[in-house]
Amino acid sequence: MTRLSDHSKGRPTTNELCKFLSEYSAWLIGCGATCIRLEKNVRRIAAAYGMEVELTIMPRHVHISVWEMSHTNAVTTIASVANTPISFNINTQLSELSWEIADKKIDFSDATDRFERIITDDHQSRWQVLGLVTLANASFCRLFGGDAIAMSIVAIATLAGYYLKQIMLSRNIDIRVTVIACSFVSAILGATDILFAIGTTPAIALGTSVLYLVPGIPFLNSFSDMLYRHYICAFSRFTDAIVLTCCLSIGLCLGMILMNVGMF
Amino acid sequence: MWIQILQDGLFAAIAAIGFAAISRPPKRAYLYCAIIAAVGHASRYMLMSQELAGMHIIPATICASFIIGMLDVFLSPVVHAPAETCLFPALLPMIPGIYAYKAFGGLAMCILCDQPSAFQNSLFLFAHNALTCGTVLLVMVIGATIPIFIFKKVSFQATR
Amino acid sequence: MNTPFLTWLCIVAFMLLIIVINICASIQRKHMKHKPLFQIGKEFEEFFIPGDRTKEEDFDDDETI
Repeated sequence: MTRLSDHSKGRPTTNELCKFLSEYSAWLIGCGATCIRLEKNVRRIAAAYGMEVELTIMPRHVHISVWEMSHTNAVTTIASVANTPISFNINTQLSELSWEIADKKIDFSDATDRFERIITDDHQSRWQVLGLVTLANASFCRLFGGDAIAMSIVAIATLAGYYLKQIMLSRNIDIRVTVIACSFVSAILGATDILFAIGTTPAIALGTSVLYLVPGIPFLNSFSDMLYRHYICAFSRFTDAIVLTCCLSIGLCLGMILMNVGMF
Repeated sequence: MWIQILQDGLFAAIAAIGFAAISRPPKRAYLYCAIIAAVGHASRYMLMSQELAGMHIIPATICASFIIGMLDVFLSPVVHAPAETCLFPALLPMIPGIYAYKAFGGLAMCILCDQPSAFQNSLFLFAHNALTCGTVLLVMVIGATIPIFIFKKVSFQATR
Repeated sequence: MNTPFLTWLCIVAFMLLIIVINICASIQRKHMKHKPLFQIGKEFEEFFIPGDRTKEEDFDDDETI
């Protein structure tokens, strides 16, 4: 790994690098990266500019300390973790940026411009996501042994529930209330074949109609952080995932009570 | 038998693509997520199938997630994306979601029932499902992370 | 009507209503160019004879005919 020489243009001051790294860290953690990835990327960037860094990764904040190799000047910042949906696209591009800084001697001003473009240019078609999630949950139903009618009902229940989720989140309604409402709607619609006695696997349709709401990535992230001994972040992410699963269960149980269905 | 295995892989691939879309991976990663998920889920299906290995869900999950991790480590430089970009979406079809909310259902029933026998049934439901879910998740991540530990240089330089 | 069927019917109606509202809102956004569906208009927008004043201050008491 090459280091930028002191005389190359675009070498940041300790203040500038600390500010850049704090924003970089806030976005990388916010978009769902693991703590170990953040640590490695940040150290790589700091080393490329001939500086040292230490960071403390908390669930809602990141503390960054940057100092020169001679230890004469140290700067510390605290940044709040960005409130953004999980995006592996941003994760990938920020990791690429760290290698470009480390290898290709990219100018610091180019790096900051590139960073701004990465965090603002992440767009995705909501209809595409809606369609893919619907197909995914219907496939899930098939994996659990559901028949074609169960798959169709699960697809409709997922379409309605995920559409409602998109509307509620776009209006900044709390995610927990959103999950309760969406799981309730999906459970009611998923119980259609129980209500009208159609199909051969009605219980599987009801059981799989809410699976699109299970917070899989937070669960996986939490266990991954635990393996790398970032226990505070691991516990925080695990608690978030448990709370969302609890909300899912509340909506599902309410739906099952109103539909007079027993599944447990 | 083989048709069932292929069907299992196909539907796991579709499920992986759909659930991956929620977490916005790069477009080039979708195909690899699908392939890895198909291979992993089909492996677990074969290991759990009574006609073949007849394993319990937990050892079958370790083996399947290890296969997923190995595939991911060697495909992530091709995709030019961090390991977790293809790994986590590929693991999503194996996540025991039904166990998770059955555990909470059992907990709710524990609170609502007042007969000792019914309470014991509900407590068994809660404990069995919660432990199974937690253990499956843990071994899934362990199995998938072992190849990353072994091939550290390859996996952490995928975006270079 | 039993509770499960009534509940199911309410949820289906609710979702259909949300879908219809969103479709209407998106059509309105595309074609009406931020004009509200209902608004209080001015008199000259409905009844106009050439020569009528179109300014707000139609009834200027200081003016002499």
